[in-house]
Amino acid sequence: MAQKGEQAHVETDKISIMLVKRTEAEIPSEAAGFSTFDLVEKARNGDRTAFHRLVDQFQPEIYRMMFYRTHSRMDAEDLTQDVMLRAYKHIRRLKSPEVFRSWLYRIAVNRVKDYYRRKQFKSLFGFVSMDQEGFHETDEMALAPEVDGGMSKKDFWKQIGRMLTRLSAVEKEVFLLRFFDQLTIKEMSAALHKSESTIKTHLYRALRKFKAVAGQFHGLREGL
Amino acid sequence: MTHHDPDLHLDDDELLRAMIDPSDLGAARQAHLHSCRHCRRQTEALTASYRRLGQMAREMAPEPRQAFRVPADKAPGRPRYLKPAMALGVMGALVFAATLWRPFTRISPTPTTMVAEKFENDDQLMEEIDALVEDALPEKYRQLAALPGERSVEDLDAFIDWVVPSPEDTVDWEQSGTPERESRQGPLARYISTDNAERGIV
Repeated sequence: MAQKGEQAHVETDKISIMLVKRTEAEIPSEAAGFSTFDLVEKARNGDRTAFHRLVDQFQPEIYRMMFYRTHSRMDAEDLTQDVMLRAYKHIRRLKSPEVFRSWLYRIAVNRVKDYYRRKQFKSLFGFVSMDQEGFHETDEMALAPEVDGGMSKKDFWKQIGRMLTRLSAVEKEVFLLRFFDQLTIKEMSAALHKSESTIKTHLYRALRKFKAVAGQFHGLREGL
Repeated sequence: MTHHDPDLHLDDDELLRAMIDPSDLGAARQAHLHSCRHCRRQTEALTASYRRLGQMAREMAPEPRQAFRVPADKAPGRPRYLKPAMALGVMGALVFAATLWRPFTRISPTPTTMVAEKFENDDQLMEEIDALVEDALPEKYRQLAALPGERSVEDLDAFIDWVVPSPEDTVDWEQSGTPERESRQGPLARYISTDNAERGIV
C-alpha cells in the first residue's frame, strides 16, 4: 500500500514522539491483501463485495464512535447502519479514495447532529427525554464486569460523561474524534469542515478543561 | 514563547501544545523540546495517557451485534441507462392514459332535458332579476313609496288626512256623538263620510 496514514512525529535524539498513531497498515483489509484505496476504487465502480469489505473494516469503529456519543447500543447500531447506507449510496461522489475515512466520519458526525436535532425536537413535545449531555446507563453496562483495575464500564462512562459536560459541543467533538476515534488533525479537519488551526485551538481548549477536571475522577486521575 | 528561558522546562500548557502539534510551539521552545530529555518524556507520557484513555474507551464499548449488508434493492450494479428508460416509460404511460381519458370526459352525456330545464331556470332567474332592478320594493310598500306625481291628488290628501285628521272633523264627531263609526271603520272612514256629505252623497 503506497498510501500511508499520516505520521506526524517529532524527531528527537533518541525518542520519536508519535503524535499520530493510526496508519493504513493497521487496517485489517491490508492484512487480507486489499488496500483501502483499492477497495474504495472498486466500490466506487459498483463492486458490492468491495464495499462489504470496507464495511467489515470500518463498521466497528463507526459503531463505537456512535456509542461514545449516544451511550445507547440500539441507537448506535441504527446510526451506523444509516451511515453505511449513505456511504454506499453516495460513494460515487467521493473524488479521492485517500480521504474515505474522513468522508465516512463526516457522514457519521452529521448523522449524530441529526440524531440530537431530532431528539431535541421530540423532547419539545415530550416524546423523549433530552439528555444529550448526560449519561444514561444501559442494561449491558449495568451488568458489565469490572475491568482495568476495578473500574466498571458503568463507572467509566459515567465519569467520562461528566467530564465531557464541561466541554462545549465543538470541544467535545474534537476531543472524542482525536482521542477516542483516533483521527489525525488532518482527518478531523476534513470531517468537521474546519481548518486545521481551528481544530487545534478547540483541541487545546478541550485538553485544558479536561485536564483540569480529570483529577477529580477516580480511575482517570492516574493517567491524566 | 520566545521570551522563555531556553533552559526552562515546558509548562503544562506548552506540553499540551506539544502533544497536539510541536510545530505550534515557538522556535526556542521547539529547540528546547528537541534537546531536553525531561520535556520529551513529559510530552510522551501525556500522549500515552490520552492514548490509554482512548484504548479504555474502546475496551468499554460494546461490539456491534450485526454486520451491515447492502439492501438488494439499493444495489448500484443496475445499468445506468435503466433509470432514464424507466422514467421515459412511466411518462409515456401517463401521456397515453391522459389521451385515452380526454375523449371519455368529452362525450360523457348530459341529458337534453336537464339542459332545457337549466335554460328555463336561467330565463326565470333573469326575469326576477330584471323585476328587482325595475323596482326592488314589495308590492304593498310601492303605494306608500310612490312619488307624488304617480298617485292622484285625492289619494294623497286622503292619506294625509288619515294620518293627521283636521280639528274640525274631530269637533264634528264629538258633537254628533258618533265615535262608534270611527271605531268601526277607522280614521279614513271619517274623511270619506265628511267628504261624501260635502258632495251631497249619503
